[in-house]
Amino acid sequence: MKLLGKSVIELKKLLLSKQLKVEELYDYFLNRITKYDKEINSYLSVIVDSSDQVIKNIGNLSGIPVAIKDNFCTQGVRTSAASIVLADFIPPYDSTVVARIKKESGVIIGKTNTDAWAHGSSTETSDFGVTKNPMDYSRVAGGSSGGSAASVASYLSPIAIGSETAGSIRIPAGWCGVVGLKPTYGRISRYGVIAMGSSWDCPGILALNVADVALLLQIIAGRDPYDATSVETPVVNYGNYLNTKKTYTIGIADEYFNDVNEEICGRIDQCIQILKKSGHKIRKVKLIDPKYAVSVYTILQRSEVSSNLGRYDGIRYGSDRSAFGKEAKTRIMLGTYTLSHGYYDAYYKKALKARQLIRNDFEVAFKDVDFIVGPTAPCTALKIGESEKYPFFGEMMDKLCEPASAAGIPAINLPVGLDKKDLPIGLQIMANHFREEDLLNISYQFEKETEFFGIKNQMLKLYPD
Amino acid sequence: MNAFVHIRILREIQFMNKYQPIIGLEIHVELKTKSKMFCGCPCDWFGKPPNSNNCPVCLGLPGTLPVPNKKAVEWTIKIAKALNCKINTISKFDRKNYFYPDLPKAYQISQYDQPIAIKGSLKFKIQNSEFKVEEKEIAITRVHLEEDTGKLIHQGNESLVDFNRAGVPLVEIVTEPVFRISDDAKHFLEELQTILRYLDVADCDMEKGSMRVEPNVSLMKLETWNMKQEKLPNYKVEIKNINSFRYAKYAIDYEIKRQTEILETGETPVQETRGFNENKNVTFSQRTKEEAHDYRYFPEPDIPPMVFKESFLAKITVPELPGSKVERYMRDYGLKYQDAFILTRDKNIAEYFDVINSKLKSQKSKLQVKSQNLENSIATLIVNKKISTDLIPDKFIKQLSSLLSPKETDETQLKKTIDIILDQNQKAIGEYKKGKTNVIMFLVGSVMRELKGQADATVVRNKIEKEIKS
Amino acid sequence: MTKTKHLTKSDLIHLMELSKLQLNDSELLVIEKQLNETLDYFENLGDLDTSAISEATYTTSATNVFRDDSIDESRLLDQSTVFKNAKKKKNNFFIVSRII
Repeated sequence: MKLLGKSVIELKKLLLSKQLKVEELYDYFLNRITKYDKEINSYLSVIVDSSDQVIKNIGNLSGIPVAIKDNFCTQGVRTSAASIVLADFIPPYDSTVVARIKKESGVIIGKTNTDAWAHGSSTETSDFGVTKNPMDYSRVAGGSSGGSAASVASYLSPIAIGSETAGSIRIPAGWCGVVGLKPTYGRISRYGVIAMGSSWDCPGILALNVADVALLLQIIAGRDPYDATSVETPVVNYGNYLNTKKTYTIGIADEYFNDVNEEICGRIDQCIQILKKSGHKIRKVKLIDPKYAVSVYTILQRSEVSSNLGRYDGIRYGSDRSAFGKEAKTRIMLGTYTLSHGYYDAYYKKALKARQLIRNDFEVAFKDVDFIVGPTAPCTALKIGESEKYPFFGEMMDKLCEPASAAGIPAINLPVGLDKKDLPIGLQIMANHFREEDLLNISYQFEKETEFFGIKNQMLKLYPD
Repeated sequence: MNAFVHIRILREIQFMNKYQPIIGLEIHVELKTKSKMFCGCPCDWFGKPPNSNNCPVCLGLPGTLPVPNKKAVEWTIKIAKALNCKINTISKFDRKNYFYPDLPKAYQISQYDQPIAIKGSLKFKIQNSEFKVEEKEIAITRVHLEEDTGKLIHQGNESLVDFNRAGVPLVEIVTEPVFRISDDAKHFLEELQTILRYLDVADCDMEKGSMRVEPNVSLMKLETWNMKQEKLPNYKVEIKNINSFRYAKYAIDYEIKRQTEILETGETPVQETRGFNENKNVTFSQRTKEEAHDYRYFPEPDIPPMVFKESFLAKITVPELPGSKVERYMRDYGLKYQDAFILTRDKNIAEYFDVINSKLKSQKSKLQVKSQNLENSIATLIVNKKISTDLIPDKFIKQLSSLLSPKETDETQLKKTIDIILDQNQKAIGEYKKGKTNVIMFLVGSVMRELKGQADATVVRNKIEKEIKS
Repeated sequence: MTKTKHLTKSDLIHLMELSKLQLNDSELLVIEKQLNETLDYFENLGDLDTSAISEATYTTSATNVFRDDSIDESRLLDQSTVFKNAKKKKNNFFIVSRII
């Protein structure tokens, strides 16, 4: 049976109708990983022997393999966050996301590569090597959820869990040409996700299509008593919500096109025209320049990082602090400074205020429009090593993603075809708090309309069975 | 500062000669909730095998998150109310960042600029060294909630770490530096311990470390003592590892002596943390190395803020506290301070006393007690342990009646006994007749003793008087 | 925002101690350059008027999120699990070099 590129929903149908055995499906992906991942390096751990896991075609995932970013704790399976500090750390517990996937008979197939501690936009800071872009091995997959994005793009897993602090799902999704959803902060439990910027961190989903994202979101979203920042807001039936075509007002902010590659701008314009044609209203909005979100994000995230990485002292688990890589050390140092006595007001407090400004800014904008649409990244995938040249190492790549993270609103990357270098281009749609269902609705419409410019077939022809 | 305080300070200044001790207290109390502050592990860590009382959260494993215990928050508010504090309507948790092997996350979840409560005061009566009853009022700076750390045992060139205690809810109570003598600090601590036990929120066992006291002591030179310009000394010595109130007093006294000697040489004592050696009754420097101290407090992003509504706060009530009970017993029952104080030290005994009194009130007509001040008599009987408070109240009352009620008198036996006693005490009768009427009490007493109390003293007295006069 | 200051090597050594990290001179040199570039970038926040703005301390609008005071047996770890990832242990204690 030809399985290449099949959606989770299609695979689920095959499993439920017993045309496909769960073990067969699992082996199918294991074989593909063996065949292709030596080069791509999207997985840090692959669970070769799945016999420990109950694989049954029951529950909402019916035995579908799921790839999990390596900063989600998995009971009994190494969780390193791609840092040698945790190179041999075996968690005694499952993160809530993983527990919920297992409860619905999802099978954890492996742990995906990331920047060490999720610090970066390229997976180049991973202590276990960079994840290569499936479209061009000389380029990065993006980060930090680069392993998850690359594994989905090359169909080494049908769907993957990633996490964002500010851009870490959308950027690699954009650069690898897959759908990547960062939900509202608090929509999905952070329990068991190795903390980076606690007031920003947000688990999310990477998949080849929108309906699959809706399916998995349904399973992992919702209040968790183990995470006090997970919210009570009820979870709607995302899958059903896709079936009604809704008409929306879409906002376009010029500030999100500054310093963006011309070819990308052109493609985004084309997408906006498509949306307009399908009946949505387009309206200009004015938003605070994302360059300020970069400062807000960097200050607050570094501060939180400096505190969150304090526990790695090598006493109870992992190596001692000398094992931290350069990027982690740099971030800890900066965060220690921005929180330190005498500088707290100038940096941390000021950043919190600016963060409130950004939040208010979106609030006002969302009174007039349902979404804000723009590019995900200012350029397509960088060459390996290229980001070192940039003064702000990666942070500028996340620039267009950071405002949504600052405000805690949901945002999605949709693949919108390839550029002249055959590299995927990403379209970003941002929505107001807890409007995931609408975000998925418009994304689904867009997918139906465009089939994402045929990107899936273009990618998968490079990765035949 | 009121005039009363002025006079006291001046007096103490004379007493202290050249230096004025400035003493503040920082008290940590472990709450006795069922579960820990931020996870569901049991709080009763004491005596368990090492590292057997933990979950991923209190062990600080990667990815874990804290969820605050509601009861711990309510109990902290209860404590704050008992200490007459202002409860902050909005309160939050903060991270206090520092490295120590007993601190699993390298930050303690504590409270910084918006503690649960601030600005309280505790009034209580004490008997001073001259046996005079005086009222003290101690200003409370703040009451906040945090998590306890693990424990370290130092052995050879290693330190052993046990995280059983990590994450137990810990309330920090800070006083203003208002104490001038160590006795007051000791009295305050005793009163606070009694209150916390009344509230039934903490065991306050100093030996187990469920109550910990850190006095801070400095001395102010009198030359700089200006009523209008209060300026505290530019250093402060904190004393840790004290496991009894008595040792707290000794440690403070030792520090006053030590710092006086240093100041006498023209030096300023070093600002530092010192330990207390209870065998030698001395303090010793604990951290000689200059350590970087910058806790980099910031709001705990994992825990949403707390907003206390009036209705929520109203539900958290404080029972009658020992201080009020002392007042009430003295005022309503005319008890002596000393009896009222002793009665109220143990909540159970005070409550027992209250139960007996209320029971008696409702059945007073039935009980023919012969006592001018019944409550006082009961108090004396309890304080002197004449009747056990282990008895159920009805039994207590029965014993009470037999001790205090008019006795059924066996007239023949009484007559016989009086005759014998009078016969044996002709000298006393003579004195009585000469006008020393007090002697009658001796005779009554002798008769009563002979009858083993089975007679009414007034009846006995009347009969003896009649007999003598006849 | 008023121009703050540039971090010097001694500032960095202090930060290094506070954050319990060891960095050699060449690492410090790289970090010094990078951090000062970053701090320069932060100056852009000065463009924003935040005088009348409250601090966005929390990302959700939730308040009073508590748990009830009950024991959660499901998460308790037995001693062998507690020590599974520890490099040094002795008689069910974690071990560090003596600190006092």
